[in-house]
Amino acid sequence: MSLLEVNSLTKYFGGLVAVRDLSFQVEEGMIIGLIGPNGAGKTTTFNMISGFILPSSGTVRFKGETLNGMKPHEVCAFGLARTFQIVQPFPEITALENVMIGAFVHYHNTTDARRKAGEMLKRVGMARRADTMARDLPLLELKRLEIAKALATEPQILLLDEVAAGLNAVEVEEVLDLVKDLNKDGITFLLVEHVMKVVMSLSHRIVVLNFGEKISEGTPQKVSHDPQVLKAYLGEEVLVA
Amino acid sequence: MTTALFLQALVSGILMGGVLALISIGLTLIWGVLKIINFAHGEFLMIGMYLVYFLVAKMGWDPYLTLIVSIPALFLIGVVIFELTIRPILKYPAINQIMLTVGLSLVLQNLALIFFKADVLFAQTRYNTALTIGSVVVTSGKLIAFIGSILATFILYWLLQNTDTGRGIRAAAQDGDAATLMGIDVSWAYLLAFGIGSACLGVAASLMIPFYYVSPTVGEFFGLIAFVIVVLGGMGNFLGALAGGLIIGVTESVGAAALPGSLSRVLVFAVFVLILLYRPLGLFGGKQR
Amino acid sequence: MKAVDRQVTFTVVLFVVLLFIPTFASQYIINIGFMVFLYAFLATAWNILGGYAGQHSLGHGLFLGIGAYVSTYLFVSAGITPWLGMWVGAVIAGVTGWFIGYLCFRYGIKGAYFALVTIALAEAAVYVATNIQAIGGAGGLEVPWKGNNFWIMQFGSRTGYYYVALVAAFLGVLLTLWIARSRFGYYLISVRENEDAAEALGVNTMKAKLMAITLSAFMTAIGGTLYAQYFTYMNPRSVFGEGPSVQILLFAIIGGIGTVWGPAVGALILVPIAEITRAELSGSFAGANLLIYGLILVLVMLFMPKGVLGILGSLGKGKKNSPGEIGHEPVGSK
Repeated sequence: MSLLEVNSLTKYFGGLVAVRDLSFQVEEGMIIGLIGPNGAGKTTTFNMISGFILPSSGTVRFKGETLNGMKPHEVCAFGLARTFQIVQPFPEITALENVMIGAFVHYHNTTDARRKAGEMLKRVGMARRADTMARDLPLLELKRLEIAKALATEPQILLLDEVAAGLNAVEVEEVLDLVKDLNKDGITFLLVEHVMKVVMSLSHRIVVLNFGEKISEGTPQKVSHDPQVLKAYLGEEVLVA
Repeated sequence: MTTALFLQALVSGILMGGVLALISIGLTLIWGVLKIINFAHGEFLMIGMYLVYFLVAKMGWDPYLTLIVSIPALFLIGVVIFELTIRPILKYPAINQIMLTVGLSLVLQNLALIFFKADVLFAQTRYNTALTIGSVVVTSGKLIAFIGSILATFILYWLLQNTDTGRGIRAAAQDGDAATLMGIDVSWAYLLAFGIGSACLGVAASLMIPFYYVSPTVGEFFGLIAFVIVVLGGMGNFLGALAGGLIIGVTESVGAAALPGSLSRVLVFAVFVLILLYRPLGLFGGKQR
Repeated sequence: MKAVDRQVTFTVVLFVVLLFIPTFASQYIINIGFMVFLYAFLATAWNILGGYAGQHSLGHGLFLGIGAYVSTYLFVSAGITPWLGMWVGAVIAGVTGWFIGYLCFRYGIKGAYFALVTIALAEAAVYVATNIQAIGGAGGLEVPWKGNNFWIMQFGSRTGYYYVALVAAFLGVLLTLWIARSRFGYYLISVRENEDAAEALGVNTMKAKLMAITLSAFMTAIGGTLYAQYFTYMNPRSVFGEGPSVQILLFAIIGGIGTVWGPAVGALILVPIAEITRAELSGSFAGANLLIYGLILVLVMLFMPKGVLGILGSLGKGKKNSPGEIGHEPVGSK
């Protein structure tokens, strides 16, 4: 049984279809990439999986249970955490306190939550920034902070939405190394990316979306040579590495 | 309630509703463009009403002649207050903006109390003649106020739709950044929107003086009713405010005929809560948040 | 942790010191003391919802009025002591707050919109109360004097009221200290700072906001009973109206919202100013103290947007602190 199963997921906004009949699976311990050009329905899919929007039809199953109708905070407590395409810090509190919010899911006591948050900040290489206000952090550190916050909820699967966006090449490498490390520790990943290159080296398998539908799925090698995928990305500067 | 009484209340409500709509349109325009609720809106109206009252009662002007003073005066008051107090805090959090305009309303209301005392003033004009249509009686002042309000509303609507300045204001309302990129002077549009939103109250003041009293607290009720109407119509929704004004005017008027005491005002707020329950974005969808 | 424990110690020491003030102070000072504590308590109650959870109610007069009217009505009509009626009022206000919160929050009504809704509901309460003859209608209710008797919360001198309000303010600050260091407090802050992010991290934002408004309303109603016992008279506008609603949050805003001590500091600075102005000017100018409140509010919003403690806080930390960033998207300034 897969850890996460997406079955025939469909979302209409008004008359427009954002995601149509999408199915894929994420097995435990894997890194799966979900890619596609702008407007392909990646973020909508993410929002449906994490409970932020209700699917028009279809189901999401996680650890064998259906997530449909669960609130985002329930989904999170159940072991599925996510980050946002645009970083969403709590600006007026410190980095450590930001992470504590996530830690409170399993540690109700402030002391324990603070200890857990400290560990997570260390895990993403931000221990020295613990007492800095989130609003004063640069983008790279905010991205790390997002991951630390999500990790603090002790997820079995982590959904990262365009974690590389806005970072330069060196910074992207740093974040991807972090993902690789965390995956070795046993966390499963579902990565949404606009730029294929980012997930090529990392993902065990890639799902490609275009106009809300799955047009290809397979190893990075296979997907990157799929004429359907190449066609979808035609006209986009960013292509296979 | 007899049919005659109901008809009378209905007509009175529609007439008053037109004026309420005009007041609310000023508020919804400011919200639409600046995303600021002016909690001193009612107090601006109060100032306008005092101004008109003095021109009419002390200087013998015809109430409708005062429009040539009340419109520019309220526009100016709006512009000055905007420049001095609101522009500096445009980038601050909502709570600061709310509290600033609440502070303004306290200042204006209590200044009025100091200058004019708590007396309730009423200007005698020749627009109290009763017109009878079937069983319904209306005063000429109220009829003119209704027609004037609807006229002013449509003129404003037309100006916003069909002039460059109007289009600039609407562009700024939709997306300040994009409007700037398109070469629209957003800062100027903000100023104009606040000025025009306030000038609406000048029109309302001139139209109301023949049949409404003036007191330092008169703005409190109208300000609040305008909030209700704006929420009802959908914040920033121009025609929604017009419909909302008529609905609230009729609700209050028919309620006053049917219910004892000031329970009709409770009815107005009950409508408000019901709308919140079932149509939280306003009757016509709205585009706030 | 230690810093917070120091704060608890400080609060207790301050409380003990304030206990001794009436032994030498004049009745005039004691009167001001009572008002400072009452408004510190009310503003502290508002601060839980407005400061920590970031939901700015402009209608707390509604809860104040419920507290004042319920305990007084029970006292007048059934002889129930305000010590008991206080809790009845608080529960009714808490339920009312919960209901209002439920109406608003399920559709994400917040910011200026939430302020509008709360102010309108408080105003509706004015008219409702005006039309209920059992509670005196527009004429209001009077708390009859039954003699100096602790058990009915009536005191022959102001000192008794001073102590009651002091205890309330003391407990209010202690509660806020507890909230500020608890999971609940962090959840409220996360809601204020970024609701979507909070949800994604497992925070039940709806529940957090509902708890905040319920607790805030509950406490405000208790303040309402103290108000009624001290001033011995209320009418719909004097408790439900815009005036008291604004007053309550004024102290929090000026002291610094979202801080433990902001509301108390705000009350300590502002109440004496207002009382002195009232004493000096009210003969010649009715409404002078509201005028002063309004002026201060405008000036503080323009020049000290984070309140007194906000300013001190940024000086203390020596960090860049752009004005107005309390954690909201700037409205109307995109």
